[in-house]
Amino acid sequence: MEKNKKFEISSSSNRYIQSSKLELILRGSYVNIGFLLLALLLITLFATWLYPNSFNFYTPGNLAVIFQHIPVIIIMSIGAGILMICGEFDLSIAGVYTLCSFITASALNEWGWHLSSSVVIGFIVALVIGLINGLVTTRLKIPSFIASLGMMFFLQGVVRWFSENPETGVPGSISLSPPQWFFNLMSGQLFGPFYAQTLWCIIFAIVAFLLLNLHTFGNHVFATGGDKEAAEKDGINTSKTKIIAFMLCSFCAAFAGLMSSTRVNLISPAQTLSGLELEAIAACVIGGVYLFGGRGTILGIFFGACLFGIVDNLLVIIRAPGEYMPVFVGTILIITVILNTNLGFAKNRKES
Amino acid sequence: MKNLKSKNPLLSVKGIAKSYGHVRALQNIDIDIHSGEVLGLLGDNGAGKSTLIKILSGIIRPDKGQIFRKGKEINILSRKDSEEKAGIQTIYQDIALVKSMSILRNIFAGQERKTKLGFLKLNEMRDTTMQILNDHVKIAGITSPDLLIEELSGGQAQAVAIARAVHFQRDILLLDEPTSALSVRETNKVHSIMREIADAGNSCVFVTHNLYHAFQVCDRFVVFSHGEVVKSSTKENTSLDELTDLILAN
Repeated sequence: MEKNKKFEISSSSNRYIQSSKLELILRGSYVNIGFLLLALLLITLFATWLYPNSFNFYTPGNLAVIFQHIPVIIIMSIGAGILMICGEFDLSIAGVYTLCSFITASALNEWGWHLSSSVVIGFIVALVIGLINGLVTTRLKIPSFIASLGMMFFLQGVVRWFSENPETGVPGSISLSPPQWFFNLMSGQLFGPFYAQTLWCIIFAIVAFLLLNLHTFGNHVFATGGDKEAAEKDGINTSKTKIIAFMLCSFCAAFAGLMSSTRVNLISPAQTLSGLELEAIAACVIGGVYLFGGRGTILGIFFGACLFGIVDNLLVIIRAPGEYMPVFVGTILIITVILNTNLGFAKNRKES
Repeated sequence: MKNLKSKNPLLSVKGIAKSYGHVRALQNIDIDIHSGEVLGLLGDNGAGKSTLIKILSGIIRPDKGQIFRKGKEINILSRKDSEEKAGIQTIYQDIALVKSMSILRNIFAGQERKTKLGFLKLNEMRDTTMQILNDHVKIAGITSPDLLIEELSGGQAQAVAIARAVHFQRDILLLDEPTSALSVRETNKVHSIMREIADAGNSCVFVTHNLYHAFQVCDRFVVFSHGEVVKSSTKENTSLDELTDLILAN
């Protein structure tokens, strides 16, 4: 019998070198998309230098639009992204985005509720919708794609029913009209082009980063999405993890909705049909979240959503016809997925 | 040879039976597991070994029968019960590591070191991981706990799974075909680890259909055939030929 205490399992020593912090950072899937974003920003700088009068990207007005609009996409994408890392989808977030603002606005203006209870009821509805999505997916074993697709149609109907004018039967928009301090809290100007939304999205990103990377919940999210069976054998409650992720996703969507409706002061039932849920999923995929779960970073999602928003904005700036946007988004989506799968983890796998 | 006939077995299985529909996977199984031994569960594919493993690790429940730990009856209803009540740590055939996660995160998956708010104690976990890898299985080349499992070879991944099980060790280490994916050299290492655990006073249950591997390392054998125990014997009282005949008999 061998007496040596230390066993050498693999004969090929020195196959791996100690990875430094920098190498670990550069290994992340957000690197490609970060460079793409940087390139895009350089192009806008260059274009501004070439056409200072007609290319209005860096004007205060446009920057204000960017810093108010992109945070909405970022916050929704963070929720959708955590859920995707968990291995599930939520197609109902555009519905949640609209319905919760509708409920808050109705409670505040029509039912005469206090502002705080109006906001709280909106978030409670969001969390309940997330809970239902999660329970249907985990307990009844319905694929989340189908479960949330059903919820998407259901919410479209509910929002329409909610927004119908009782006299004419025609769905109409309503306004939130919150008190000034609440407006300042949700979308007030901080300084220059920076608005409260910018701050909110940074707070969301930091909290999500801490949750995903430094918290037990994040460890369970990655394990659940990476290999559900192995996670269960390790003693992780994957159903609970998924349900929490669904609820977080709904919460983020409701918050983004409230932020957006505070700014524009108009909640339209047509928002449920705007394809926001697919935009959020696309931003996550662009940001390197793996479609089948288990891989993804908050920084990647952040970059992905920024890229999405900036391309959207640029097309408006250069007065491109509306139909260009989906074409560009589709192209970017495919290109980044190709980049991510061929330069990211798959490369590591080939080496081993 | 250790004293195998200790008064109280670590774990006793009495009269366990399990059927799937009309198929009797196990009937009337009696097995004692003593401390300080490596017990080999042998049998051809479909003999009922895996069913017993699943019962012991809490994945399925037996139709009837009792399980005793040190003389006290217990019920294994879940994976947690298996670990906490029965004192069993299982290494599964398919390793049960999440490939897209790092070694560190895999080792602590489901049993994280955390603060009161649930945040991970990453530094502490990193130190422990390196210590685990160095103490239990010195895996050549693995210098960082941040390597992903998919970056490792099959043998290295298996070694990580074994290191994890050895670290969170309980009374009994249950190994379900642990060497099926390993080279000869790596297999020998796994055998040495089992021997060490038994010598330290705990016990290993080694499930395999490879008789030669079993004969190398086990102290005692239990041979399964068609869901029944057909032979239970110490190494001195049997031979490789006899075991071969028993397994191939039906």
